[in-house]
Amino acid sequence: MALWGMVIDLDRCTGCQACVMACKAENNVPAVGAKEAKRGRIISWMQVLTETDEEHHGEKTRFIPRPCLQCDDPPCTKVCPVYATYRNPDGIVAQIYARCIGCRFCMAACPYNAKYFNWHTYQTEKPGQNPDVSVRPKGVVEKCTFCHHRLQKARERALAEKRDFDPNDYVTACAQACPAQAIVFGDLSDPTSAVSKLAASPRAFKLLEELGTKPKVIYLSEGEGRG
Amino acid sequence: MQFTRRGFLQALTATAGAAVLLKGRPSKVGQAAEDVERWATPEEIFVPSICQQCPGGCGLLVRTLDGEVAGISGNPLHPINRGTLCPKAFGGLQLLNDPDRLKGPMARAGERGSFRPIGWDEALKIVTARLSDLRTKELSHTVAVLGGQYRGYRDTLWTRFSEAYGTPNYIRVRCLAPEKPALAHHFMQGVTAPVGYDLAKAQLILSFGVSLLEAWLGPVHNAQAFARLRRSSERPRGWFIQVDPRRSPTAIKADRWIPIVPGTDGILALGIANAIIREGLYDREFVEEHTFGFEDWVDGSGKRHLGFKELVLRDYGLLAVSAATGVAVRSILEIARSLASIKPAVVIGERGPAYGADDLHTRMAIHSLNALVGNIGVPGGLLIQGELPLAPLPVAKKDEIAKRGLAQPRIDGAGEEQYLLTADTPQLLPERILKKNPYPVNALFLFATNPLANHPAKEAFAEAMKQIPFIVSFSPFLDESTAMADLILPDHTYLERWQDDQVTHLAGFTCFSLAQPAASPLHQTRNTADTMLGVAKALGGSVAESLPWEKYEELLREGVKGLFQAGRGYVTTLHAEESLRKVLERQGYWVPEFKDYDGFWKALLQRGAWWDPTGIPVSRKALLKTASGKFEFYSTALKEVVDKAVKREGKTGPFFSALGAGKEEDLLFLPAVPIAPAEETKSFPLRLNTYRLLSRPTGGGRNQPWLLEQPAVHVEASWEGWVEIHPATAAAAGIKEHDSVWVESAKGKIKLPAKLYSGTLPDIVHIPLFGGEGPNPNDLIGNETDIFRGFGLLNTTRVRIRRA
Amino acid sequence: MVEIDDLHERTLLAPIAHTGRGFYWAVAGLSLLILWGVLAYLVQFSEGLGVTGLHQPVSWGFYVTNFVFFIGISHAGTLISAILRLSKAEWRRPITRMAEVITVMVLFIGAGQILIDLGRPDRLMNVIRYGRYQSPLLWDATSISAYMTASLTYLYLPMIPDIAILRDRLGKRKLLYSVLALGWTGTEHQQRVLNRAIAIMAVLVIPIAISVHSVVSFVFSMTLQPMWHSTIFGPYFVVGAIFSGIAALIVAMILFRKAYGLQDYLKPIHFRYLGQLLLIMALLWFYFTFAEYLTGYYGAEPEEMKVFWAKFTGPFWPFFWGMVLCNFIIPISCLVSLSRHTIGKVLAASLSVVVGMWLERFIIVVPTLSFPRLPFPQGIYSPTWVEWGETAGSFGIFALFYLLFTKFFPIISIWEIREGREGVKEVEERLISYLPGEIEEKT
Ligand SMILES: Nc1nc2c(c(=O)[nH]1)N[C@H]1C(S)=C(S)[C@@H](COP(=O)(O)OP(=O)(O)OC[C@H]3O[C@@H](n4cnc5c(=O)[nH]c(N)nc54)[C@H](O)[C@@H]3O)O[C@H]1N2
Ligand SMILES: Nc1nc2c(c(=O)[nH]1)N[C@H]1C(S)=C(S)[C@@H](COP(=O)(O)OP(=O)(O)OC[C@H]3O[C@@H](n4cnc5c(=O)[nH]c(N)nc54)[C@H](O)[C@@H]3O)O[C@H]1N2
Ligand code: SF4
Ligand code: SF4
Ligand code: SF4
Ligand code: SF4
Ligand code: SF4
Ligand SMILES: [Mo]
Repeated sequence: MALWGMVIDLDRCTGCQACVMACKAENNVPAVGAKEAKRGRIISWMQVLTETDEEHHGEKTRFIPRPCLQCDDPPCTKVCPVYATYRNPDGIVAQIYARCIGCRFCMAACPYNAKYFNWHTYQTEKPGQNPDVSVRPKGVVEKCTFCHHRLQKARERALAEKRDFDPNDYVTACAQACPAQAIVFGDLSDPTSAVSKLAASPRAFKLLEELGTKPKVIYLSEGEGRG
Repeated sequence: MQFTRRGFLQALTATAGAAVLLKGRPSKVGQAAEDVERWATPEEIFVPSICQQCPGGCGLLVRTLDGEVAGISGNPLHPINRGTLCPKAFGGLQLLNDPDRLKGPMARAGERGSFRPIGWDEALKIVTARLSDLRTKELSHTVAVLGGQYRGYRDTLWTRFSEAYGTPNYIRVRCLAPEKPALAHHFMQGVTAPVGYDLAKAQLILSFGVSLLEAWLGPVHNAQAFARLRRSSERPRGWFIQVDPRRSPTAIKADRWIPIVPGTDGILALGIANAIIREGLYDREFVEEHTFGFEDWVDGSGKRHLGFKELVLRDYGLLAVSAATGVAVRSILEIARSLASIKPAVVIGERGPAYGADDLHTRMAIHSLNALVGNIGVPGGLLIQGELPLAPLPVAKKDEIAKRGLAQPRIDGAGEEQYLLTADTPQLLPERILKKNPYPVNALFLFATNPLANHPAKEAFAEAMKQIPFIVSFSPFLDESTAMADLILPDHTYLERWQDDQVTHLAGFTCFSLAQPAASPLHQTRNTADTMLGVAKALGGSVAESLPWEKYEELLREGVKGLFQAGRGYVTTLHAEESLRKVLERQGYWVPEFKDYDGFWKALLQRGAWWDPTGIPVSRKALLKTASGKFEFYSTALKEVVDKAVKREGKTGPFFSALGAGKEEDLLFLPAVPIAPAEETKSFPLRLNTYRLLSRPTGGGRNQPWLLEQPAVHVEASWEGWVEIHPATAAAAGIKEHDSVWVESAKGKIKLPAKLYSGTLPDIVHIPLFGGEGPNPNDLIGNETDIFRGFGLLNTTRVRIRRA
Repeated sequence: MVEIDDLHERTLLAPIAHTGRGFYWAVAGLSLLILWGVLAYLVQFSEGLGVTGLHQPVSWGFYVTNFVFFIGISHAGTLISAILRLSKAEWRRPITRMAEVITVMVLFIGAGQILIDLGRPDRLMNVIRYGRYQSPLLWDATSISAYMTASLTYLYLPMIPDIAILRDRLGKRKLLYSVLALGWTGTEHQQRVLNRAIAIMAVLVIPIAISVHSVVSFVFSMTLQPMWHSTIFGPYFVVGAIFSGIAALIVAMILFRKAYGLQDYLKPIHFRYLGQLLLIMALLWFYFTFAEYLTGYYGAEPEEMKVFWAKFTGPFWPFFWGMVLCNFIIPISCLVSLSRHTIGKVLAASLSVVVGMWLERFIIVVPTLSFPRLPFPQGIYSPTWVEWGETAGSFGIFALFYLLFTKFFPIISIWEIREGREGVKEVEERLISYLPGEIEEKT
């Protein structure tokens, strides 16, 4: 069984936000508008966080693209009262928009703030959207799904072509777009996959690893060093 | 990066039926039935296209479902971006569906600024009647075409139209001219094609104000190169130094950020040269063998001339340089040592420094560093870009009227008097129009440019446009300039039209992209190229003969034939296949893939691009094309131009006066940038810098909500522009984060929210070019023109701030 | 005896028999608050939670604060009354009913806060359909409903004899009272069964009450968030709940004492006892708070410290220090000596504690959410008119329902007072039995 994971190389990443916009286009993530944005309600499944090191008078800054970290032991799913967010058999932490009651407990529980709420009706069916991903109503939580629909499509395609599913057929929109190729996606359970090799790099680290959430998004640190 | 190869190729095969895309939208009656069908089997086709949100020219794959656009991704075959994209590419979806787009042609109704919709036939009749009237009155030269940021056959078409019609006034607003080398490169190296920088192989990049990761020739090229500099299996991590007055995201990602007093890059470069020379770190072999004018020299007439070395040692002592540039002596020394010791290295200086006065000498100074450390013509250093082997078009026919028209002087004065060296001088245009000097303008065509917003001369432009009796705009949007037009003939947006792009990539290879429409037009718009072909046809005579194509795609098909016949390069394919071909080609084999042109054309449409990655001249010979065959620290070519001008006009002539009055003559031809005394700056103590945001597209990007909502990562902002102020400066003015602030210059004032940003020198404020509505920094910037480039001086304005 | 009894009944039944002008004014005032709340909720229902000041990352605000606060207040009643009953504290007799009513009213309102806080109230049933027992929210739902049932029963049982009195004496609402009185005639058997039932309920209600506030605290402490993830949160919340509960009870007592002229029943001694209880709770609360913050401070885990300093000196300092003032400094200074101006001082302390405990809940919910671990753009939460309206409405509904209750049922238990009076001798005997020595032999 594949364990889908992602490596993001912070040394390569330029903070360009291609991943952010690719994700929006792929997953029909709405722009919330100037007024709502000002109130802090931007929805950005992938978000580039800018970390400034106070000790260096703001001289040291790094960009951290943050999708849902797809924790293998996710604190967010445990608190959901209705199984609207859960770790699915593919290891992906999924959201069922049609079931979510909007209690936002999962938002409060996610240490990475990877979940976003539809405070108003932000989206309607519009031309240019991706019909593979449903449009979310107001009052529910959404977040990065590792472009799960792409996995389903890849499986369907393999089935239709009567062949085995090839993990290389499944890649997320953000990884696909990244011009610096800072994002590598793949099967962490396969030691020969690119993502596994990178995850074993001495530069690899996990965000807030001490929390024991076992994120399946792994970062590579900046600066000198092998890997 | 991985992509689904099998699925992808299948999708590509499906595109063969381009007609499917053009069949138009289903009628209302059939809609319901089609909806049902659509649920069952939406036909998914990936159409290769070209991103036009910046000069990057990345290849797209537009996902269409039953002909409707449902997504954008990078074309994995495209040599420029290899399937990756920058954030702006996705804005393309919102550009296409922008509700504010013009829905069809419009004609002025009464006062300027009010419109009524008209049909295409009527619209075309109006233009044709005007143009033919002017032509019969022998006033063809009084028609001016102002063109913005584009290239390829659209440029060819306008050039040709202007020639055949008979106007010398096809004027372009171009700051980066990828089609031509920068003057500095031309005069020092003699090159006639633009230089490339082998960023991907360089071990050290020293950038003077190049917004590598945000703008320039497209962040995708640069990010890819940057990533390879950072991490590559073959070599250690490279080193990147960014000289920029602002700690831009590029500077953040650099290993070292060198803040600099704007406009002093030339001085800093010469200071670095001073340190390299004094420490004996320069590449002696290269300097001795391949350069001219390093040491003092004596000319044929026995006159002694100043050499680069002496110039640098005499005038650019580190203390003086440090005082002028604000860069610490230690930093200068460190840069010098890194630059001289890490190989290969490449020094780039493009538009950042050129915001200030004397672009030519500044860039000569920067470029001389490349010669000093011998980075020219080596992998990882400077390259020269190749030329596309497109088929030459038959010569345009010029009748007598056309000839007489073309013989008239240019209205913008480019190539004359003090603007001798410029190809276009858009900044001068309004003044000349207002003075009817040398003649009045009777018609203005605006194509993909919006001077009323984007030029520091915008106010003068507005005045000048009042004088012009007939203005046509082709913009798909009712932008500021278009609102002043008499006739609007809206263009398709790029996903709806046939298009080509001719990118000369930084890495030197040539690339031709071709795209059929990815979506059927959403509104009653028309590809401007087709519009103009139609106008030419209606004008008849030699104009029609010079532009004989019914449709733009026919013109493309004729030109592209050259690629098929060139006997080199290929339609891009998968990486593995390409590597194989490259190996073969290096051994001298070139295997044609297609039997006939039809096959070639079809494949080009299916895969999106043709390229020739092999024929990149990297040898020093190919790069050094001056009269002496050497890199000229002392530019004899420039001297020749100046001497000629002096002979013609005398030393009091406008060119010489503007260039060198009062200077030691050798300094004109050497990369000498004067160290100016500090200015008296009481009333306007701050400097203003405007810059491009990675997220804001060329072309305005008015209504692209995703990009507007998250425009930047280095400051917190959304949906509106801002001014970056150093916290100390802000504190002194009593300004807090998000406060509304007036930024005032001698010309005007604008109100913006403040962002306190420590990544700047305290006496500089930075305003991003945000595009669209809202405060515009060009309300502040004086209309000064760089005599070497004809472009506005964008970085010399001084301002003050106060809380609003 | 009979006459005195009648006098009692008359005083205690007076508010039910006669309605004065004050009542209508109060109802009108409270209705306005409620109207504001209803309007606010209607707007929120149709527009979405966007009409609140909530955002990313502060996704919980006033509603969750109110939820914790009201559930806390609910400990006023049932728990306190049960403890007093079980410990056979005689002075409890005029107090228990008032306390129990608070519990029932406020529990509904507290639970309602969660409903109001939902993004999709229309999908509430999903909690039953897809309920996931791992979620503390379900534990809340369970224990709150248990507590509701228990405290409703616990309120109702001791009311039966009084309802019978109402049925017999009052001209009005005969049907209602007859049904509710369950045929109470006051036989010895009935009395025995009732006492037995009350005793069982009293025992039952205590663990349920404690569980309620423990699981409310688990909503926070079961996450990994800084200053939430704390082992003492359960008891800390329970202590806080009892603390605020007593304060609320005192306020209610003083109000009705004044309004219904119950000076004869609610004597300074009652307030002194309750004041002393409040004092103890204040000290206990302070102890917990101190322990909680000191351990946080000593651990100096950077993420904890971000929130810690936000409360101490950062944007939340007014709330934090306001809480310390209201929950500790004011009550302590009011309550140390109650020999004079007892009622005034106790009232001041109680009002202060009610405010302070609301601030405490706020200071637990909001600052943690305001300071995410990762570098996010941070917005400061400021509630909108909708949240203020909802809050005002909630308090309004509580007050109105309480008021209405007093118009239907005696707010002081008639029969228990009577029983107390009749049982003086019994009590004396019991007292004597506590004491050491030969006294027992004497009897
Ligand atoms: N995203 C995006 N990309 C674009 C465009 C766009 O609109 N959006 N437009 C395209 C066009 S038309 C152009 S011309 C190019 C421009 O491309 P660039 O020239 O790369 O970009 P700019 O942001 O204009 O300026 C580059 C940097 O120069 C710095 N700078 C300013 N003054 C000085 C100075 O005196 N010295 C030094 N060393 N640095 C200085 C600025 O702070 C800025 O960071 O970008 C092209 N690419
Ligand atoms: N202060 C300051 N001002 C600057 C600069 C600066 O650095 N600072 N930079 C300058 C530079 S480098 C440049 S290049 C100029 C750029 O300025 P412009 O030459 O005005 O170019 P764009 O901003 O690209 O605007 C193009 C216009 O074309 C229209 N348009 C968009 N898409 C299409 C299309 O598909 N077809 C057609 N026909 N029209 C279209 C839009 O209405 C848009 O307003 O700005 C300059 N202005
Ligand atoms: S697309 Fe790649 S380089 Fe750009 S921000 Fe995302 S991860 Fe970084
Ligand atoms: S990052 Fe947050 S939302 Fe994603 S799985 Fe982990 S806890 Fe859940
Ligand atoms: S907001 Fe939705 S997904 Fe999150 S915990 Fe509540 S019901 Fe579950
Ligand atoms: S994996 Fe997919 S859903 Fe997640 S951030 Fe990337 S593009 Fe968005
Ligand atoms: S770099 Fe330019 S051309 Fe390439 S995707 Fe970005 S905006 Fe489009
Ligand atoms: Mo430009």
